[in-house]
Amino acid sequence: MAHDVPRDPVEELIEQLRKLPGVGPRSAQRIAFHLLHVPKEDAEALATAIIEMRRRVRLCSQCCHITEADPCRFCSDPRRDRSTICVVEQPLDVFALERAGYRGLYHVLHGVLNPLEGVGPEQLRLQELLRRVQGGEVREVIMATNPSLEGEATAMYVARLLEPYGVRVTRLARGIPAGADLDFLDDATLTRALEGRHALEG
Amino acid sequence: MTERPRLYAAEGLVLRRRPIGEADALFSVLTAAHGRFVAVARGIRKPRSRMRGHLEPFTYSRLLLARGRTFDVFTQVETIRSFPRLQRDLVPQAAALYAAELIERMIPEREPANEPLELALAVLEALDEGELGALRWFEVRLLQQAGFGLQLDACARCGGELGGAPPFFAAEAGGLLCERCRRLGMAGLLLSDEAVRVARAAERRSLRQYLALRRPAEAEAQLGRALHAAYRHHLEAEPATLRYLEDVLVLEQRRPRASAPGV
Repeated sequence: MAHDVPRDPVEELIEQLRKLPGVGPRSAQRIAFHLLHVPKEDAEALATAIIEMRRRVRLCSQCCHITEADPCRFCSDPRRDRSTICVVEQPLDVFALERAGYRGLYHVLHGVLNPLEGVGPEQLRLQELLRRVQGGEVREVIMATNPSLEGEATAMYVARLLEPYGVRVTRLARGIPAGADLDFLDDATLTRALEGRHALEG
Repeated sequence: MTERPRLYAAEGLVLRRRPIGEADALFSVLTAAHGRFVAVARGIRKPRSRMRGHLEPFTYSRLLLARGRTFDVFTQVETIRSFPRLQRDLVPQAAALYAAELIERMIPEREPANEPLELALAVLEALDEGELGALRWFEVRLLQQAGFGLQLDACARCGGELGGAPPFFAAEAGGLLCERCRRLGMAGLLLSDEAVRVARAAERRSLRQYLALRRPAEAEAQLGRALHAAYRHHLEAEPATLRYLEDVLVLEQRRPRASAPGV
């Protein structure tokens, strides 16, 4: 509608909040009125945090992870194993793998293949990955996309894409989650777990 | 209305999964009795969900559903049949995604779908065995079932005899045109007699018989172009998964032969 008419500031905020994921019109109103009543500094701190985040955070030119400095702290860390790249769907996955003790390099795709929703290879950060692999330092690429149809498709696609370059492409193991009951598992998971079995240290 | 039981059972093929909300997902399923419909699985994206593996796309499962306001809700699911290769082999999976999209877009919601379900299971089974040739058969049959069967024996526009000229296929007319009608300027493409023979075989033979026939690659490719034009015409857009399938096939062709699977 009429964009040039200055809007009521509260209405404007509600309108902006509604665009956030998981925030409906009711929640947007509640948040807006909450911000109206908290100390002014708190509200301003939120506004500044958003502005600073957008101003300072960008994508690492090598691994596409979110970072302030380019290259990011992982890519510039000399202690990390530079021959291994772990490919993940989104920046949050990097933190999960760090907690799990991985100490190689990363590559963030910012999405997964989802042909039905129109997300094809060109929407992912695949060219950047290809460039790194062509650089020659990389010996192994670990595909750590989710074990969903889309994650699996992405892993297979990348494996096929990198085939001519002679790097080893591996996939995270898939199987029984910790604390699960065998008789509740679906066949596909159990089949995978059987395939991925390994010898017990005696 | 109140007579309707709250719970109902069905056997369904999962065509598609779409995340919604924090931990839920919507699933498009194809069943014989209730047709194609969308239902929601609550909490299925949590790692402890027991339904997860049973609702992966291309799984055929026994379903128990509760009627809901907007979407019915899955309450129990159990796999009847899964197609493992469609989860872990790039090309067959891309072909299956394409088949699933065509079904989703060609088969109306909530109408009994005995035949489409049989068709879908047959094509997935063949793709799971690596029989990519099944795709052409499927494309021909699905058009038939959706009521748009190819007109190959008489002119699709005037119904007259086709004559002896090389077959000319017009998607808009839904089949071959006679020599007179093709002069009216409808867009189309020339087919070889072989391509028409393959199309007829797909219409009349079971999938197994069809796959056993000799099908020259060039004829299959030509028929493919004609069928894609037909789907583009009916869907008024290119299927989203077709481009991906073609991408994947290009990658496959570039592969060094030595590392082909099973060699």
